[in-house]
This record gives sequence, structure tokens and C-alpha cells, in this order.
Amino acid sequence: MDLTEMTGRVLGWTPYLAGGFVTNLMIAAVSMALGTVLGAGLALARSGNGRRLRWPAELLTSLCRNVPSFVLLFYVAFAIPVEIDWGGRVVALPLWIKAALALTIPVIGFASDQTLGLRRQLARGVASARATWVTSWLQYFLIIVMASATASVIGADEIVGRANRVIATDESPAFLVIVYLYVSLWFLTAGLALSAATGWLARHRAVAGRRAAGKPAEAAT
Amino acid sequence: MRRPALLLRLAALLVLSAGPTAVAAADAAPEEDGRLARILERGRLIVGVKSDYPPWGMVAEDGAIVGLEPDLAQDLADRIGVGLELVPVTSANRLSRLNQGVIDVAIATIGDTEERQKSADLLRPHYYASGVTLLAPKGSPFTDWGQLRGRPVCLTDGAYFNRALVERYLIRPVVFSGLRDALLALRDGRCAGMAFDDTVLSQTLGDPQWAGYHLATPSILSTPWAVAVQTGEGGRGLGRLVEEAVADWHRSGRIIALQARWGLPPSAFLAAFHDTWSAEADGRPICARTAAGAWPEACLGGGGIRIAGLGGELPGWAARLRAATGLDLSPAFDRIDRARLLRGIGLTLALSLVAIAGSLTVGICLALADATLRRGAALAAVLAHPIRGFVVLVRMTPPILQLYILFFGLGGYLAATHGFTPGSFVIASLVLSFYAGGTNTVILRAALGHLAVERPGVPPLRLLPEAIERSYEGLVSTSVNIVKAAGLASTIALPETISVVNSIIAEGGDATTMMNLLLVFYFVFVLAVLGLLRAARGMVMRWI
Repeated sequence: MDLTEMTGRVLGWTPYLAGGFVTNLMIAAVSMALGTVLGAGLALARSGNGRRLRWPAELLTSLCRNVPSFVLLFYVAFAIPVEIDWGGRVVALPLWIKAALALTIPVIGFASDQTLGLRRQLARGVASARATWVTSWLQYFLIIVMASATASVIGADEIVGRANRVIATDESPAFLVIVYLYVSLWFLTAGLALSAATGWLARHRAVAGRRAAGKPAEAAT
Repeated sequence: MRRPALLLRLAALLVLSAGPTAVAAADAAPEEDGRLARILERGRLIVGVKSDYPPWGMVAEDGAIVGLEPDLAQDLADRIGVGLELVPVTSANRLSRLNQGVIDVAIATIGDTEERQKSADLLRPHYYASGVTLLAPKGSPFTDWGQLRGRPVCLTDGAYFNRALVERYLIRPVVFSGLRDALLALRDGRCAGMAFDDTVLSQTLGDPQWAGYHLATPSILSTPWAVAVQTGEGGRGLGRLVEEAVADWHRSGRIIALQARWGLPPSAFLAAFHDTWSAEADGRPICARTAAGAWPEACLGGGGIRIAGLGGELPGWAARLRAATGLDLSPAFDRIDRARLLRGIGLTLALSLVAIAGSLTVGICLALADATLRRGAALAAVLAHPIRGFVVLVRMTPPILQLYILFFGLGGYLAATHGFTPGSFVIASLVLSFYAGGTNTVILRAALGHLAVERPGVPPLRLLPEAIERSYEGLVSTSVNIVKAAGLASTIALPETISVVNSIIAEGGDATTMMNLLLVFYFVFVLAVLGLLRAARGMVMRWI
């Protein structure tokens, strides 16, 4: 089978792979949402007056920040049951939820640090503090999207896991490389889109900031 | 309101599955049949099967999993009267998937060993048996296992014979997560041979692309295969039902018919089991459950084999610790496990160190090149674009994909054209250096940019020390991230810490202890790296 034919076959799997990529985005979205809320809570506890709350919050943040997500994936897969009893009914917990929970942990560490910084900057009256927080949040979102590619090691049905299934339909090594390159292209596209959004937001904020400060806005970019 | 109906169905099923010879079991009070009740409730049986083990389990052109074991799984689902869902599993994860409850039953080429009996209930009668042999290039000098001492042998994670080969024949294991990866590695010359199940390898040889290879060594360590259920389920409804089904596959010759259908060579094991299980005395099968519900020992043909001395004697304090807290430190007192754990930790440290140095080098070189080109004429500034494009590419491709692509893609290409393959350590160092190096480039580029505005006309090289000082925290956090990502190298068979821990668990080690210790190890390790890099700040600044 020549390269063109192989590429055609890989492209034929596009809907299947796209479905997997939706799972990647869901993993990233869930862990970012959950982690941001929990991390912001930790930041409150760290900056609050209560001494008793402060050091456990510091320790928890340090734990979340310093354990690799790749290790957490195995840990969560092993520690959390797959089916839970919910009022007498069995609810299956899909593996992507486990991956999302594993990736939530580093997000908690990140959000705790960022939010603490935000509160300190706001207290000092730094005008751009919120914009900085949003920019770094979006950059971290990108990191988590990249990290979601590792969810296949615990069997989550995301794009890399699906790519491995596609690869299993053809034994030639060239086919494997083409499939992986194609999957990389999906991540690259998502990454570029997210970067563009971050850039647009930064410019938009800068313009809005100048407008709020009473200066004439430059040509909107 | 569903409960009574469910119990009725359960009771009916128990009578059906137990058959006419086991009335005793049906008469007993209906026990709490956890898993079987759950299967009936959801109306679906979830079976873990192989997807890379032709013809036992493989992926068809349309992506469906087919093979002999999926056929057996379908037969089980039909007997229970529910639908079937197949979940692909690997040798390394099949028993943990079972214990996590992802699958109800595993029919996944599981060799019955005493170590595995601790991790799950392996049901008897067994349904097949196979041994291990070596696939190697035809010109290679190896004809017996003893000659492989110290040689790299490709293996798949979690296979029952891995440990025995290391222990008895002192091979150097190169462990991959699946058959596909291990075969690709053999073709790229990463190992002297690939040790695997003899029935599969004889099938592999039928494929013309393996014409230059042969089965080099005799088949050893013959092991019976068992269907597995979660620990504790073996004695309940589900376990009994599966055992009845396997017995029936032998009696009726169904499994022999499947063997022929999937093109497997006739197995002496299957022929013998068919004779034993179909034998009758006075019109009744000889191999039937006794009044106590057990199979006659003579029908079972022996238990699982014993592979290694896992769980050997612990010193007194460690045994007391295990009894008191459940913390099982057995691997630390096992010669082989201890050696590979130490080697794994050493590899993790070495890879982290190399990747940190590499990513700083890449960051400094690319940022300097970028800054220098941008200062130059229009033509030179255009040349900076490929650098920026490259940085975007390495930062926005997940490192796990970069590892796969370089390891199998570039590795395969170099093997075919130059007869040389970079090892997994080299590939992992490269990928991690460039992935983190891309981030370092962005950090240093920004600092150099600010400095160039503040002090126009000064060449970037002279601005570098101050740029490093300003971005020191950023560089430290990239370095810490790279240490955290080093475990990814386990996906390309680098036997570092995570990979060793997973192997030990797959071979029957205590998962809770190993997982918690791994977490603690990484927490301490990352904190130490962070502390060292921060403490080194003054020294680094004086030095540059």
C-alpha cells in the first residue's frame, strides 16, 4: 500500500478520531473547571486569617503542584471505583472522568497559586492583575489539553487511544507514523486556536484598559 | 420493585448453570450474587479481551474486536441472556481492570500462575495452554535460552514468563506495553529476539513480512490459560456460571471447532481435555461437580504454575508492619524487584538531569539565535520564522505523541536505512529537551526582548546573563515540569520508576503500597529538585 492510499485510509477515520478529540476537550474542560474552583478555595484559605486553615492549605497546594499528572492518572485509575451505587442504582463512571479527576489535581495547585497572586496584586492595586490571571489560565488550559493525550494509558477512549485502535487495523510502521502525525495535527490546531484566543483577549483588554483610562482607543486590532 | 424479579431470574439462572448434577447449590439460600446481579441489572456482560493477539483477539478492518476469545465471550453472554460489550485489555492491565470493576470477566490469554491467583479468581477448568518461545532473525546465533544471558530481549508488560526469563536465563528485559510495539522494536533491531506465546508467534511467522525470522528456541514454561473474575466472585454465581461454560466448551468440542475456525494448529491440550470432559460412566459425565460443588481434581489437569518467589519471607519488622498497616514492602526484600526498582530510580534521576540540561541548552541556543536574527537585516529576520515555527510545533504536540513518532517513526527509518537505532533513553532525552526547551525559548526570548529595548545596540550574547537572571523562576518551573514528565518515557519501554512499579503490580505486587510509595517518591523528588534549583541561584549567577 503506498503513502497516498494510507493517508486516504487515515483520513477516512476522521469522524472516529474527532469523536475522541471531543473527549480530550471534555477532560480538559472538566478538570480546569473543577480545579479552578477548588484551587481558588485553597487560595482563600492560604490568605485568610485563620492560622489553622493556612498550613493545611499550603501543604495541599504543594502536594497538588508537585506530583506528576502521569503518576496521578495511574493512581486515580486504581483508587476510584468504576461503578458507583447511586441510591440503589449502578452508575458507570466512564474512564475519561477518571482522567479528568487525575488532571484536576495539578489544576488545583496551579489555580491556588495564581489566585493567591491575584489577591495580593489586587490588594496592591495592580490594574492588569485580572488580565494576567486570565492569560495564564488560558495557557494552562493548553497544557492540560496536551496532558489529556496521556489518558489513553489508563484506557480512556480519547483520541490517542482511538489512534492506537486505528493503527491496529494495519501492521505497517508507516501507517503508525501517519496516524500519529495526523493526531498531532489536531492538537496543534487546538493549541494554535487557544493561543490566538489568548492573544486576542490580551489585545482586547489592553484596548479596553486604555479606553477606561480615558485615552482614545487606537485602531481596534 | 425490580428486586424480586431480579432474584427470580438469578435463581433460575443458578439452577440452569449448575445443571442437573448440582442441585445442592440451588437448594441453598440465594446468596448475594454481587457481580451477576449487576450484569443482569445492566443487561450487558462486559468482557475484557485482547485486541493485539491474533487470532485470540484482534481488530478487524472496521475497528471491531474479533477472534477466538470474543467468540467465547459471546457464548458467555448468550448463556446469561444479556448483551455483550468487549473492552480491549493488555497483559499489564487486565487484572487491575477486573479489580477496578471496568470488566466483569477477563478472557484475555491469562496464563494461570500462583502469583496471579492472588490478584484475581482464575477459574478452572482451564480453556487452553501455551508456552513461550523466541522470535529472532534467521541469521542470529541463538538456539537456546541459556545463550541469551545479558542480551536484550523484547517482552510485553505483564506476561507471566517475563520474570522467569530474567531470573533463570538472566536476559536483559526490554518491556513494551503491547505486542505491536514489541514486534516493531524487534524489526528495528532493538533486541536480540522477542519472547512471546508460542501459538501467536507461529501465527506471526505465517505473515510474509516476517519471512526473515524464525522460532529460535524451544518452547518452555507451558502454562494453562484461565478465564478470570474479580477476587471473591469465583465462588459466586458468576464464577460458577463461567466454569460450567468452560466445561461445556470442552465437552461439546466447541473450543476445538473454534480453534479450527480461527486457523490455530491443533492443540494437544484441547484434545486431551475434550477426551477427559466428554467421558461418561453409566450415562453420566465423569467430570461433574461433586456434592460439595467442586470439580474432581483428576479432571482439572493440575493447577497454575509457580513462576517466582514473589512474597518470600519478610524480616520480622516488615511482616509486623504489613500486619498492622497493610503496607507490603515485599519488593524491597526481593533480589530482582529491588535491583530493578533501584535501576528504575537511577534512570528517572539520570533522564531528569539530562532533560533539564538539554532543555536549558535548547532554550538558550534558540532564544539567542532568534534575538540575533531579529537584529539583522530583513533577510535575516525572515530566517527567524522557521525557529518560531519549530518552537510552536514542539510546544503544541503532546510529548507522548512525540515519543511515539520519534521512537517508532524515526527509529524505524534509521534502522531500515542505516542499520542503527537510537535507544529509548536517547529518544526520551531528545523529546523532553525540545518540549521543555521550547518553553524555555519563549521565556528567554521575552526577557531578551525587554533588555534589547532597554539597552539598544548591545549584542544578545552580552544580555544573556541578565536575561537568565530575570527569567530564573520561569526556567526553574520548566525544569520541574520536565522532571514531572520524565515518567512518560515508560511508554517507550524505558524501565524507569513508573514502568517498574507497573510491572511489579502486574506480576502480583501489592498495588496499594506500590502506588502510594510511587506518589511519595515523586513528591519528595520534585520538591528536592525545586529546592536544589532555587538554592543554586546565587551560584549560577556568579558563574555566568
